[in-house]
Amino acid sequence: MNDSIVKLANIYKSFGDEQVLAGLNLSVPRGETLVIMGRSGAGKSVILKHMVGLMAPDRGEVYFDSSRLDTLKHAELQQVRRRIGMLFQGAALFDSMTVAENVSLGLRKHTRMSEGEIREVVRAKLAAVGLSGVEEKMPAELSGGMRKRVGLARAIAMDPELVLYDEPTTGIDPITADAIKNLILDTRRQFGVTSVVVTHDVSNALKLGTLISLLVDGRIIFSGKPGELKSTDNPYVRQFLEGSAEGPFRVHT
Amino acid sequence: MFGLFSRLGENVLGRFYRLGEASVLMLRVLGELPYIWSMRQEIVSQMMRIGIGSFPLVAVTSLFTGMVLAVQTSYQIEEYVPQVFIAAGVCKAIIIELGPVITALVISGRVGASITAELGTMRVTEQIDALETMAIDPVRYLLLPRILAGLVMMPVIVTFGCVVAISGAYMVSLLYLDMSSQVFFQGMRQFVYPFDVYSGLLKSFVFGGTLSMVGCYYGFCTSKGAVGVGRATTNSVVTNCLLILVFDYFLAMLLFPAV
Repeated sequence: MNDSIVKLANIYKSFGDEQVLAGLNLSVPRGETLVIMGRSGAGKSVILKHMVGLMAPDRGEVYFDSSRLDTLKHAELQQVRRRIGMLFQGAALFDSMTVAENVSLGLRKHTRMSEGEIREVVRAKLAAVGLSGVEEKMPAELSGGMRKRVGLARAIAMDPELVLYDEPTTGIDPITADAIKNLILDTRRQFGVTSVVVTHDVSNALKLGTLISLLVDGRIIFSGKPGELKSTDNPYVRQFLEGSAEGPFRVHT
Repeated sequence: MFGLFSRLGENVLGRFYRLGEASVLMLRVLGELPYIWSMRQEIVSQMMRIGIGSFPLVAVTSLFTGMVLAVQTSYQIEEYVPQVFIAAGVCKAIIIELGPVITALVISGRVGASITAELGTMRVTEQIDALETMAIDPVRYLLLPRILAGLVMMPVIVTFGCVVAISGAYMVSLLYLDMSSQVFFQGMRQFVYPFDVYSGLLKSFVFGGTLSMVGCYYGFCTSKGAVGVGRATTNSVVTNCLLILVFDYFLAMLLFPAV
């Protein structure tokens, strides 16, 4: 357990009759950026939600550090969550708050920082994601890319050990998407955090990941470094890399 | 035939499931009561939103309710009873029944629906999940302030509504019913008891709790995107209107038993 910050062991999860995770095993080594790839609807976001305790498995075990996350009491789970940041697919900014209030909410609730200190942290985190002068804007006034940046600033505001990214570049233009990818790399370099990125985009995975896993039918069928991904003969990986409709992945039209 | 029974069974089970779900959620809210002080800013903010923001709408509806009540009560009984009883009946009806019920129905449309739509949108856009990942309990942060604000502000709004409605009735009595001020206030003083006022306030307290809890429940448990938010908001208003009328009957039975 010592080298892994998060470990999912033999996880099963269903929604109604639909089995999404079926015996999934996954470890996230400390300091690495793990990219989980898979087709849309494969259950990638469900994995992230297990890692932060938003969902509990039907069967199996989830560990954060040495704590068994899925059996923790609510107060203990809250303590663990303070060590995790998450960037949601749509950024999930609080509509009724300004950018500064969004980024500072965790600091206000969990620290005894003064107003001046909070303002300074907010300014620094926004600067780290390439934003300035937007503190008093409302989320509705921001573009999609800016919302993602603010979401990232909020995710790293409490200096988490683990940051989870749910489809960080979906729905934004390629140039902004590349800027977001650079931000994720910078965040890892600057703050030394462990990261888990969920995406179906191969270029994202190759640029961001130090480790890449492929999710198929509720299990991880490949795990390795980017170089190993490119050279493997695994037919699922080959089809995914080539973006072909022909192969073991069944395409329903 | 079997399909009909099957659907009926599913429907009944679904209602029991929702009742259980709502009860568990409200128990969680009760468990958060010790944190009222730490949530004081949010509570005050919701009190302003629910209370102060509702005053104009309540003023208009109450004014017309009072005026209509005076005109129609007079039309129905002026041939049989002295005017002092018309004034007494109008004021009593406003304080124990129409004030609390009509205000609650108006507020359920304005505030209950808005609570559901707001929380429902927060749910489907993952804002509530985001709060949880930030180790901020959404029950404490979102539900507790709204429910407490509903409980505290509803009696204030109803009191305001009753004053406006009685003022409306008074104006109409003076201008169109040839009633003197002295007769109007004599009827009020003689036949409106402190117990009537307490009963009206108790009703408003119950209705305030009901509409904020129902609004919170439907909003918090919303799913399935924009369609889900619309459905939850409709269900919230319909459930609130029904519950307010049902609770009004049981409170009336409890407070004013037949002698």
